Amino acid sequence: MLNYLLLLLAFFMMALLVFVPGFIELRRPKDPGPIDIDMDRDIDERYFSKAYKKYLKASMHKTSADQLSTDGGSTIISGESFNDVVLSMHRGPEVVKMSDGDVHLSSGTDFNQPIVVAGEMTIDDECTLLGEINVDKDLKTGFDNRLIAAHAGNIFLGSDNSVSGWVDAERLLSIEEGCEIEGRATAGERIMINGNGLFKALAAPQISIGVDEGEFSNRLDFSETLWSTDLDRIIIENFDEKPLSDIGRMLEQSTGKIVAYNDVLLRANALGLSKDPLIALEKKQRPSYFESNKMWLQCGETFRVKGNVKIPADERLAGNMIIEGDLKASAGVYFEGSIHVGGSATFGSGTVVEGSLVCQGELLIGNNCYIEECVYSSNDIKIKAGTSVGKDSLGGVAGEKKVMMERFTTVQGKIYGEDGIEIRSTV
Amino acid sequence: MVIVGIIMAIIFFVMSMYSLRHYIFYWNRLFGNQKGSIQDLAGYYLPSVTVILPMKNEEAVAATILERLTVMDYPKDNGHFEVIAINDNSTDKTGEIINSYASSHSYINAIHRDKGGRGKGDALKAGTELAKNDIILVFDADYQPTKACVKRLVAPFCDPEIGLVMGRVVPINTTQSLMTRLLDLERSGGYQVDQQARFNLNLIPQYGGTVGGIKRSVLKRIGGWNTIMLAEDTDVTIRTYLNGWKIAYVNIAECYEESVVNWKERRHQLTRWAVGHNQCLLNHSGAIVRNPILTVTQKIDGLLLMGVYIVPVLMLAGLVLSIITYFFGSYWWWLLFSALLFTVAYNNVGNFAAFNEIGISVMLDKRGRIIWLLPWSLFNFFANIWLCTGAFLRSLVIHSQDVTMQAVGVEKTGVRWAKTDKRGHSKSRGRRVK
Repeated sequence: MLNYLLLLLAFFMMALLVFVPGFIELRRPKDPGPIDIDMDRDIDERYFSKAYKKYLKASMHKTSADQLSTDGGSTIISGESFNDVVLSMHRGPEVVKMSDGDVHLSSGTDFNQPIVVAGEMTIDDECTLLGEINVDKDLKTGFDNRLIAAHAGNIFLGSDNSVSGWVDAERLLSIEEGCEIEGRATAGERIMINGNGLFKALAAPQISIGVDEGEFSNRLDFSETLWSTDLDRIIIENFDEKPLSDIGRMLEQSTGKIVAYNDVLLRANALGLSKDPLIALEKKQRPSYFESNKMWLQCGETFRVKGNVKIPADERLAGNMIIEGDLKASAGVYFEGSIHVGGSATFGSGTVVEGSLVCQGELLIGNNCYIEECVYSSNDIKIKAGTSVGKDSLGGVAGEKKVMMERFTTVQGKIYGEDGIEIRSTV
Repeated sequence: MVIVGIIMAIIFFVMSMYSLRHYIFYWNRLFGNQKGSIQDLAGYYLPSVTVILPMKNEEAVAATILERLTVMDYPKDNGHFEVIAINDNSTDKTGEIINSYASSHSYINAIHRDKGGRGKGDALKAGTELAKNDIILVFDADYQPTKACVKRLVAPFCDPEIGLVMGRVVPINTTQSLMTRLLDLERSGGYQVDQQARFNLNLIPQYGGTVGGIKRSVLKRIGGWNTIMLAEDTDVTIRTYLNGWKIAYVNIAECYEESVVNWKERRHQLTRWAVGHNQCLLNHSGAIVRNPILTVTQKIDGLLLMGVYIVPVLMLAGLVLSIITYFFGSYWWWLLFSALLFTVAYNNVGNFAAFNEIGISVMLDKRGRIIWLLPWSLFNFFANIWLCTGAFLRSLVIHSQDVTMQAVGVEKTGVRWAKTDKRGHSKSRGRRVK
């Protein structure tokens, strides 16, 4: 009997043991608060640069004016002087090279300390600067320099520069051929990339890749069908009887040019033949390229299409589209809404999307396309020359793998690639 | 004995499914691919938004949520950002607080309801009718969103396949009682692991009725807010998926909430959730199984999501049947049932977000000694067995009443506000989430 009681006692003690740490935490709480959330942190791609500047400013504020202006221990570089000042930075006390005026670093200079310049800064070729650079006015670099991070009013990075951290310009960030920036490259107004390069994230109200827009200026010339009594008669006589593709062919024979099926639906709607052009599309007035697909209207603006879709040139599609398979749109297709593609997607030159473009597979956007809002893919994104993404400084391109872009493209907002952004002559 | 055996087999099967699901979720959160819900473009997709705030007797917290919305980092000009604060027949100073904010901020509209249906669903319905924008976000009165919360919540809507979004709820009043500390753990597991894993695995993340939003066009298509269901959020979740849209879970769109502080309030809250989920299970199970758009895994997850409050009932049934077999069956049957029951029970405890999930969430949140309280969740679990069993029986009664009323052509009436008293709690001290 005693054995059983002892066993029972041991069991209860073991069962209670598991609650002991909790009891201690309740009696003497060491972690009682909620998960700490920074309630006032907003979304700012220039966060790292601003945070660094904040640290720098606070640190300089703490350091006395005498210390900041002293010439003791100064380093003379090309006739300009730096004061070596110990500042209490976010990493701890650090020697910072400071200058009140303009600075010119000659080729081959190597520094390990952060640099703070009140005027302009010019860096010649093949310098290695392993501390953050903060310049109040412009920063210009020559060929093949290695930097950690830089902030300035305007920044002009010469060719083949590499930056292992962030680069931020208050106004303009100009980047020449062959540069590599591993952190964020941001600007308050504009980023101009004038050649090939490798990046992680780019953010500015306007990002221009390539400057010569002559050949690749966007050509968004979509001619509207001029309706006449004869064309209207074709629609009135055939709308309830024949499929849309047949009506399209008849109109094409009369006008001598392709008439988008959506134009036919909209005209039929205007003529009182169809109450809602999208419902007509769902029910029977289906263009030939959708005939083998199962499709239905999810709500008053969104279509779902099963299977792969191949859209011929110069078509015009109303509403948002959810395509479960692959999408191949030929040149000049006009989408009057956003698109979600479950597979891979290819858009021919001159495609217009009046919304966002989200793709699960690989995404290829041809020459001279225009996407009004955002582009996002769970895979690689390839964007060809002349394409423009975003409107009114909003929009962006983001990919969970690599983003590859040709020159002469513009994006308003942000470009981000989990595996990097590659600017190439051809994708 | 054969019937008992069949029932026990069903119990073991269902509970094993839940166990497996928990393991898959925490494995995914630890080692799987994490989906970002298009957060890389947050702040670069800024559609027009209407925020609806349903409030009933919320004078302790009304000013805080309205203040948080006034400092929200979102373009507020030209009707781009609109707040509809609904005073739903409050008897305290809620109406006055709303009016004072509406008079000083042009984008805040005060709506005072003194007639019509009574309940959150009715208030949401009224707000939606007045909303000018296509994207509608909902916050409860005791919530405190971060400055970037709206920007983060709207980002996934650039994908036309997304119909609903859901952010992360974080309890703020953790210092108040043992209950709030345990709920802090439970919420952590539920959001940091459960919701994110469901989103990663293309299953069915749940819209929680607050810190989230829906496209008005989607809401119209799925039939609007349901004023009959006790869990209108779960109901909207399921109807959204049945109609072909998806839900994006945004773990980084964080929002503090005031959680219930005592067992009495918890009992009310849990009973409401359990009855609501059971209502959904009884109403939508058939539609989920037959739906041509949902994948097999989504169907299974949908059923498990709706049936989550039946787990404690199954556990109780298993215990009762084990006792019956002990007295009336053979020794080996009893031994087998007991062994299996305790195995699945071991894998399921932890108040619907199993212990391992909570543990992983505490680790992901980089928190400290709060994990020492994890075994104390066991008391919540035992309480849930009784509460959920009661709720299960109640939902069966409600369902049979609904079926009867439908048969005789009587229209169902809405539910009343099922709310808990809010005290107004501000952030004390805590640990930073990396």
